[in-house]
Amino acid sequence: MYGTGRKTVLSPRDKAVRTGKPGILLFACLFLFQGLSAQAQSLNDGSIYSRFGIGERQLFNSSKAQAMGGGGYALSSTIYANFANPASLSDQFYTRFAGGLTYETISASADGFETGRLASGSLSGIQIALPLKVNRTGIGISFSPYTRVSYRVVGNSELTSDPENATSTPLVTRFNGNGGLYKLSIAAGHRLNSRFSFGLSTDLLFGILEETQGATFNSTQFVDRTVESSTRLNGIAATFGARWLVPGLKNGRSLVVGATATIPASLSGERALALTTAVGRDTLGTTTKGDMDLPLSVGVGFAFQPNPRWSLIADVTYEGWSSFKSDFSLPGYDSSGSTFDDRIRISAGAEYWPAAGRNFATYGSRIAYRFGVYSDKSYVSPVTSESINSVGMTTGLSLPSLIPGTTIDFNFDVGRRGTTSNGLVRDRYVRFGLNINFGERWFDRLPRS
Amino acid sequence: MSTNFRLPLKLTSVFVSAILLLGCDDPTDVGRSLVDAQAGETSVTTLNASTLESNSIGDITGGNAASGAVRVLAGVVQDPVAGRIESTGFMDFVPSSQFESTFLNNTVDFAELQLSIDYVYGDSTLPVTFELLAVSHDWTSTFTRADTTILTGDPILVTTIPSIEGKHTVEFPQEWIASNDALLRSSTFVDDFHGFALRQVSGNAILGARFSESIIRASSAPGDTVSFSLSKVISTAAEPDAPTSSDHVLLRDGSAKGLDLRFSFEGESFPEAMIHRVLMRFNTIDLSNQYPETFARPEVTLVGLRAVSEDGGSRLDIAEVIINADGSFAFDNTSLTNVVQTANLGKSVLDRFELYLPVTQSGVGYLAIEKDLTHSENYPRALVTLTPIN
Repeated sequence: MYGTGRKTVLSPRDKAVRTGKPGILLFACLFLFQGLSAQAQSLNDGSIYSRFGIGERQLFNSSKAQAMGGGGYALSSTIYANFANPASLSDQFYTRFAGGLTYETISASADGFETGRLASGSLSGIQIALPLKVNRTGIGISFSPYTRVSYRVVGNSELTSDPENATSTPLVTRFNGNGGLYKLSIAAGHRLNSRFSFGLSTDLLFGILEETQGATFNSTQFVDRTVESSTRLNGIAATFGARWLVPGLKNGRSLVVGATATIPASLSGERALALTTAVGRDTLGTTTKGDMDLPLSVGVGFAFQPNPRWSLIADVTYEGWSSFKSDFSLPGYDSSGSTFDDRIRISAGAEYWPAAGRNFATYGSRIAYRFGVYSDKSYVSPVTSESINSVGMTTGLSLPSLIPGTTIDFNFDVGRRGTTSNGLVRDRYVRFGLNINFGERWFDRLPRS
Repeated sequence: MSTNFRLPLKLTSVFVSAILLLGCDDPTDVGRSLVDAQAGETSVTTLNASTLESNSIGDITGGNAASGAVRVLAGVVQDPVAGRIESTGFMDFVPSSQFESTFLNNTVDFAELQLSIDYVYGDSTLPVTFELLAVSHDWTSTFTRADTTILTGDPILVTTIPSIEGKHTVEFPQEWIASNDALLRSSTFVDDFHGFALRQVSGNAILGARFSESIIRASSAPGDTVSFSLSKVISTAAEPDAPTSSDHVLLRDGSAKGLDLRFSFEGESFPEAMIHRVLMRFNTIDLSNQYPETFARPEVTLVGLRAVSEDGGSRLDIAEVIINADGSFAFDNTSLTNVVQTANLGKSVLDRFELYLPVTQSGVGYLAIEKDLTHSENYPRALVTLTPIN
């Protein structure tokens, strides 16, 4: 913006910023990308472990936390909207838009099988946060996957189709899974004083879990059929969060402790079965209605800044899935008594940002470098005597863009899940995340001439 | 463009290209063992028939040219194995063509019945004596079963037919010709004439007259000779002393009794499943060593299967198959599979299966279907390829 006397004239770039056009443009791109990722997700090439329970638990709090191991309950930031802890929304200076995509490749191995290579894409999340009162009260909306079902397994075998004459027929059996639950959160955070902030979010959980099983014979003597199970679920949960800046640290250091609790939620749903052949589709029975009780979830985290350039975090998440109950049968779940395990996720991470808020620093020093590690014990296992554990390492770069307040983050997550013992599968995965984080000041009044 | 933006733009382009261009491999079978443990596995299960017994629903023996009627049967035979069967043949006629006025305008002075005998079941050494009876009421042949009753009138003539294949001709008495002269030349012949019944008086065989070659010939002096073709037939049957056996059940052609067949394709013993194939197998017993050499028994070569509703009103013909040289036969087609699938889901209006001998057989032969549970490998059974639905 430049001025010539009494009249203030905005440059075209400033006009664009003031009218929010870059933000709208970026979100149009994100929704376009969401269509592409939905196409990729429809290829159903995720982990076979997503078949069990209500799907593979997903996590996206912010792209910064994602690259730092995935936690962030105590993470403070004026650049990112952090939905790990609703109390963090009190940090907002700018109106923030953020969204991202994840592309995952998996190398799946099991004893007696050739290694399978899988790939799929999905939405990481879309977030909007804005300050009601700068650096004091903020609200936010977040949409992200809560669980994901995405798998495709094909088995080729020979079936002894006529035991009396010892004749056999090639059989192809297909198992597909698609869908998952999504979480739409509306959250608010408030800073009570310089040390303590709290927040609350209302989480709408909804989605469809779809599974199909089909048998194909490639013979006119047989009728190829597929059975499809579709379970729609929805319910509301609530999350409480708090953050506390530990007093007594000097020389620019800070230590923040954050904690959240998500109260148990009950999802109601209905399940429909359908039988499909080449000539049509037939509904099986009547739609079954039922409920699912999700467990209590608790998270605790620490964020330590020895100086403005470094941020270190450590987080623990606990979800009490052993108390899970469902009226619907689920793979890996026995309705006579829950066979789910409590989930425990431990992570730690670090960020190095050379510029540390110096806006006129060189481009290279305004890039933020992130690293993290995590361990995640899954809530469900196909074999009750064996837990499915994931361990991984994350890393990421945050690149400033031409548009002020906007960063483009590239995250990488490399890890291993499961084991080949007891007939299980070991996944080695690599995830690539692209996130766009855009912030600008809205609702500013233009200066009067 | 600012150099500061080139790097993120390039990296973004690479990422989006990766999503668009990096396809996934063919689906893998890794994890198959995990899924099989949870889901139903495709397998073949053998189900014995829960019911295989005679019922009181007779074979459909009525027919006409459109339904493919083959012959009309009449006679009485004492079968050494299957017992006594009594058959009465009913036949109706229509003019073979438009009659010329030379016939229509002159008095009929001659009429004869020509029967083309092409089927003999029984003692081939004894001739069979029949009486030809008038039928004075209209009757239906389409889908009419062998146990139907049709009233007959006064006898018209008696004739003796040798128990061999060939053409047999018998002249109508002049009294009958004179009393039916106007009717034979009438334009309402089709509606007013109701045909004859052929009923045995003596002998030990059932003879069959070919539908397409059995006619009435009539002439009027001094006009043309015209013919009346068979328009519809029914062969009724009665089996007053049908024997039963523990190791087989008879499926008799042209019988007043049918054969009920049931399998338990639903319920607790057979949960919901994807049914991919149903192969029904049957074995028969050869009883020909119980017959004297002079006893003629045309072979039964075809057998059919249909699905029927409880009241018999709805029928679905599934297949007609050839009987193998060893006496076995099997039904294996997608119609059968789909019928069983619908029954398994509890959505079928069809109550049971019926075995029948197709109308093209049109005789009184039988199949002795093995049903001895001590030889379970030959018991009527269905091999069902299915995948349980979990």
